[in-house]
Amino acid sequence: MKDYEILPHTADLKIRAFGRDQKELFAHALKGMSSVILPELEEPENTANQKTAHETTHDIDVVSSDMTTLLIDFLSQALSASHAYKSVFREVKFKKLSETELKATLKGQQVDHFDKNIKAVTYHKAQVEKEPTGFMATIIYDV
Amino acid sequence: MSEVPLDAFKKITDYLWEVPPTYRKDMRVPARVYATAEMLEDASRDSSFDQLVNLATLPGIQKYSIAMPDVHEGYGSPIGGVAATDIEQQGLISPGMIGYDINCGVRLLRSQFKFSEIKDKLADLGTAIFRDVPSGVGRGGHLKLDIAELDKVLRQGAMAMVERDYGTKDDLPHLESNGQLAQADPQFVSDLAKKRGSDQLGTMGAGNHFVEVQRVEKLIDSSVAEKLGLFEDQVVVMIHTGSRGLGHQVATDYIRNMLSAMPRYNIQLPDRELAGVPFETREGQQYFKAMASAANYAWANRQLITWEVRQAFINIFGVQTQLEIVYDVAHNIGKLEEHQVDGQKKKLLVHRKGATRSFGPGHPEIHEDYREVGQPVLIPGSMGTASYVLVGAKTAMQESFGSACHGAGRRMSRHAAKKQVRGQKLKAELEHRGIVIRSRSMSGLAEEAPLAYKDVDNVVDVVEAAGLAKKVVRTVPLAVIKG
Repeated sequence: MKDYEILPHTADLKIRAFGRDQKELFAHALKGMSSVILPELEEPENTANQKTAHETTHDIDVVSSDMTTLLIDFLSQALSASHAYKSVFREVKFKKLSETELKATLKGQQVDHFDKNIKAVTYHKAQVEKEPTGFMATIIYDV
Repeated sequence: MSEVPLDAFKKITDYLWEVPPTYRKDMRVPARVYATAEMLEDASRDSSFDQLVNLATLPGIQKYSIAMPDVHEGYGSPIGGVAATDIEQQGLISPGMIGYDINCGVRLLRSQFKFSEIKDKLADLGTAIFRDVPSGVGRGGHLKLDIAELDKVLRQGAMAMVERDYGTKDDLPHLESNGQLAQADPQFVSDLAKKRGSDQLGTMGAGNHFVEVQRVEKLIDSSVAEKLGLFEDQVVVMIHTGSRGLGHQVATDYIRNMLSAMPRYNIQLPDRELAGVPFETREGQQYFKAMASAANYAWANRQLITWEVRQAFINIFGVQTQLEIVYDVAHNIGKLEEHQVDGQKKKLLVHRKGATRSFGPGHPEIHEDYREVGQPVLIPGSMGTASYVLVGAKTAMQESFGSACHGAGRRMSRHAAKKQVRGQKLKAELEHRGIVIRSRSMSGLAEEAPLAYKDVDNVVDVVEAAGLAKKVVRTVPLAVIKG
C-alpha cells in the first residue's frame, strides 16, 4: 500500500493518503503535503544533509468534531506553521491521538524557499474512509 | 465530471443557461451560467455545476447563484462564482465563498511610452522588475513590519503605503473602494495571520500571480479608451496578486470558526467549505471585519508592488517615467452593496469568488473620472495570450449583481499541464515570439501554460454579449515576470 498519491484537479491540488491505522493515515497525509511543498527534501541525499543542519520541531494541539475535520485541521496547522516558521514538516510524533483530539510534535527542516505555494487545506469532499486494508482520505488543497 | 446533467439546463439566451430550483430540493434559487453551448459542455467535465447548485442552497441567497464564462471547479464554490445574500433576512456570510486569497485582484498601470520607444530595453526592464518585485514561495519582501505598523496597513489599505511615500494620494481614487474597506478591524485578525503577513508586503507570490508588461494591441472602443488614458501601442503594466499568507490564514481561521458556529444557528450546508453564519451575528461580523482587513492588506501589497515597478522603470528609462494607475479590481471578496431585487432596493452581501465587480455608467461608487463610461474591468488572459480592459455595463446590475468574469479560467489540471508541457520549452517558445520571460520556477511556468486555460477571447465575448461589460482595449504581453 502506498503512503499517498497525487490526483488530478482542475486548478488545485488533490492528494489521497492511506494508512493502516489513523496514526499512519495522518502521518502519510502530512508527508504527501510536504512532498509537494518542497519535493527535493524527499531525495535521500538531501534528507541526510538537511537533517542535522536545519532541524526544527513544532508542537501542535487540535480539537475537532470528528476524524475528518481533525485530519484537515491537523494538516492546516502544519501548513500554517510551515509558512510562519519557513519550515517543511515531514514527520509527526503523536503524544495523544483520538478521533477528535490530538497533541503532536511535528519534525522537519527550516528552508529558504518552497517549491509550491499551498495556500490552504480545504474541507471540500474530505472524508476519512475505512477500507479493509486500513484508512484512506482525499484532501483538496488550494494552491 | 458534473453530476448535474446538461439536459438539466434550460436555455435563457444563447449566452445564459439555468438549472431550476426543482432540480434539487435544497436549492433556494435557480443556478445560472453565462456561457455558449460549447462552453457549457466543456465546463460540465469537472464538478463546477455541482458546486454552483450547492451555492444555490445558501440561506438568504437572492435571485440566482451565478457562474461566469470562465467557470471551473473550486473547492466549495466554483471559481467564477457570484452569490448575493440578503443581510436583513438572515442572509449568510461564507468565507469559503470569498476564498483563501482574499482580495486577489488585478491592477493596471499606464505609461507614457509607445512600445517602439522601449523595445530595445525590454529584456533589461523584465530583469529589473524580476529583481525589484520579490516573488516565489516562502520568500519575504523588503518591508518588515511590527504589529502596530501592520495593524495600520490592515486598517488603511493602500493609503498606509502612500503615507510611507510608496505612492501619492493621486493613486487612490482609481482603486476599487479607494483601496480600503472601512469596516476593517485588525483585532479580529489572528496573531498567526499577522506573523505570516509581517514580511510579505510588496511580494508577488507564485502560481498564477504575475507582473506583466503589455502593449495595447487594439482599441475596440476608442472614445472610452481615451477616457481611461489608453492609446494604441501604449506600454502598460498588469499586476495580479492578493493578500498572501495573511489572507490565507484569515480564511483558514474563519472557515474553521464557522464550522463550529453553524450548528448554533441551525445552518446545514451541502459542503463544509461553504460554512457560514448569518451576516448580522457576532461571528459573521468578526469575519467580515477580518476579511476587510485582509482585503486592505492586498491593496497595500499591490500599492507597494506598484512602487517597485515604478522604481524598475525609472532605473531603465529615467526619472521622467510616469506610471499612473488606470484601475485596481478585487476578484475574491465580499462587498456590501445595494441592488434591486423584485423591484425592491435591498442591502446585499455580494460574494465574488473569481469574479470582478462590473458597475455600469452612472453608478455613484465609480470615481467621477470614469462615472460616465463605467467602472474599468481588468481581465488577464493566460500567460502569453491577450488580456482585456472592459467597462461595466448598466445591464450587469440586473443580470449578475454588477459582476463579470475574472480571467480566462483553467480547463486542465496543473498535473496534466506539466505532463504536456515542459517549462523550458514553453519559455523558449514564448521568447521566440518576442516575449521576455523571467520566472523562478520552470514547473510553475508549465502549470500556467496557455493550453491549460480557456480562450480569453471567447470568455470576454460572452461577457459582452450577455451585457455584463463592454470591451475597450485588447493588450498583449511583452514581458512576463512570475514567481
